[in-house]
Amino acid sequence: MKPLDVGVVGLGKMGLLHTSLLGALDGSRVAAVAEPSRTVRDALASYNPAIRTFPDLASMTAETALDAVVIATPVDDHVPSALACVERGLPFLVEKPLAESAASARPLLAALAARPLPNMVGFMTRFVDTFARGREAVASGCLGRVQRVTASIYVSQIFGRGRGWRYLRKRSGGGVLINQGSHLLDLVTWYLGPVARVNARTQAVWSDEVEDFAHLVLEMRSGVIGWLDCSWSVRGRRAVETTIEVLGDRGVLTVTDDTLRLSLDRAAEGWPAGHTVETAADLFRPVPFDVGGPQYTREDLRFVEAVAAGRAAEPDARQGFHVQAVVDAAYRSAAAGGAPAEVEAP
Amino acid sequence: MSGIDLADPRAAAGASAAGPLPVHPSGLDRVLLGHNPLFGIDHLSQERGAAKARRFEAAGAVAGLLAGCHDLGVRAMMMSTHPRAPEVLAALDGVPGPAASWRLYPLVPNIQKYVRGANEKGLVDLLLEIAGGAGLARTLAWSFQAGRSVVGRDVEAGLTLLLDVELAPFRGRRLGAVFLHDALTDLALGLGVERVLEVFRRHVEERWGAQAGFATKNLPLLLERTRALGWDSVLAMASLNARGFWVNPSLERVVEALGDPRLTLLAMNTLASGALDPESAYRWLGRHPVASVVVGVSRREHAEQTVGAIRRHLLAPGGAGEPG
Repeated sequence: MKPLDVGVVGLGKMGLLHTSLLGALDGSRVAAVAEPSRTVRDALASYNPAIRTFPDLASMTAETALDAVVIATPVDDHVPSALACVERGLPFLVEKPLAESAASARPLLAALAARPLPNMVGFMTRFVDTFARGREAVASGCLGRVQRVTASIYVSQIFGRGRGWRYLRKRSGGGVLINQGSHLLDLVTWYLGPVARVNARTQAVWSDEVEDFAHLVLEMRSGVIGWLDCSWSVRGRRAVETTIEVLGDRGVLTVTDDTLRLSLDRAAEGWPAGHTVETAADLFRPVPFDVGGPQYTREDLRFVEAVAAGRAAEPDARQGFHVQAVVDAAYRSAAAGGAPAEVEAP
Repeated sequence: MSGIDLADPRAAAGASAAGPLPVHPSGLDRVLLGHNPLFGIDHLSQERGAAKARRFEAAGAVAGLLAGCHDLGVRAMMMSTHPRAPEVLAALDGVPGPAASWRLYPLVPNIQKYVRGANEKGLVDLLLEIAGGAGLARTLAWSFQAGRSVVGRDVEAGLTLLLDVELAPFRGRRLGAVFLHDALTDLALGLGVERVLEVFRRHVEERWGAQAGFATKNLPLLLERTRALGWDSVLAMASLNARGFWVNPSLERVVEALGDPRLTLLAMNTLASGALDPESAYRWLGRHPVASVVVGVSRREHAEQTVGAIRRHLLAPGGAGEPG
């Protein structure tokens, strides 16, 4: 079968990664990229003239026959680019978070409802082997009735005043909560369903506009209560450390980036009684091409397969919207000193 | 965990000295000490990595590890340009015996620095800042002027400049080979810009007088693309273990690729991040044409087991890694 011709918008870190992956996978090739920096465009063109380069999405889609688009631009450009794709009937994978606010994402949901297309939001943590396996455990029901969920994401990254769009709330939508905490919210909702309301506190120590610490108390629609904590300004975490723990009345599941631990009172749904430990080495499955970690390969493979088959894929814009709505509620709650805030329905 | 802690300098004093491990005909040291434990990197457990990082912060801890490994015959070390690299280099100078007996294998660039920096500042600003910090901003500004058209030679000038900045801490040291980080090797392969690999190779050989190697998570693809470029030799570092952990696109394909006569392989992740014991891991590895291995050790007992198993299975006459 002919490989899909994909266009990539934005050649920052994530755009380069997707361009590399989609260029190497059998089912796709990168026909064109759109990038405002002439330096970056020229550098790519001088080494690989087979990829056409354009200054923006509009000229790229006007002059290249594409099957799909990957959007890896600053957050405030995600929805405008995604809307342009829908208008042209082009399936898209947009990097996370979906938007800088739920309100700005609404027109995209409306456009997709009118013209359904395969689309994905880049919550790649779902494709990390341990977290995918954790979802299987939760979905199996082996934990019994779920009573509580806790989750955290930490990295030692910001220890000074930053520059650029990420530190401008209007462009990025916020700080660590929307940037990295959104991965956690995607995991929590993927595991346990939607969130009904939140109480949140945030703290900015390195920036005037965006938070470096966030703590949320979550009430799921199922009634389960939990909390989520995130920071990019903690010490001693050289790489991103993500943890989710789900407590049930028959056991507890703890999943990190590298290990899954399950403790059950009795065997259930194919999981044994007692302690089960599965490591990244136990769960590893090779990928056709790896740059940056197999989770990105699996994410892009999922997208390519969905586009080729013309079917829906997950996580999609609707799920991305829910995560965004929880983030918005958290910011409203934090602004009100931690008062409960309802999560907007799609 | 039991065993004498190599991070304890007193432990090294009791070690029995062995002769240096042999060198492969390609010029590569057969066993390289990996830098990961020293810098708190553990691909199987971030918690375990952090514990190692704490241990090696103690005064003399790094020197103790190096002295212990020296006694086991190890004379080579792979090292990234991690912020703590100067500390390790200083410790190396203090190891009994001539510091010049050690050969270093830089792995560049320190990818974490670039990933975090790109998150914070964007890629182009970050590159300018790094070059600027080395007093080279003017040169790079010439290449990366906003809006000016750049061509291949400008990019090449920028790349070699950044490479020199990364390698500066190793100036004057004995270099075994310089490896390009897998994130960049693989990025280049996927982008179809493998001529960048040629730029790296030429610069390392001509400017730094060392062999150029390529770390990769996609060994068969590296071999395929470099064949198309007409390379008659490829020095690569890639994961290889019986579990197939981090071995892409499959263990079978990689084992098949090992038969490429152009390849000199430095095997990494040979214990599958601790999932395999040294004896069985190196017995399996000894059946394949592996020139060298890079090992991460932090305790004397583990180092002895590891180096002992490598001597038995990889360096014994007639082993698959032994030429002739």
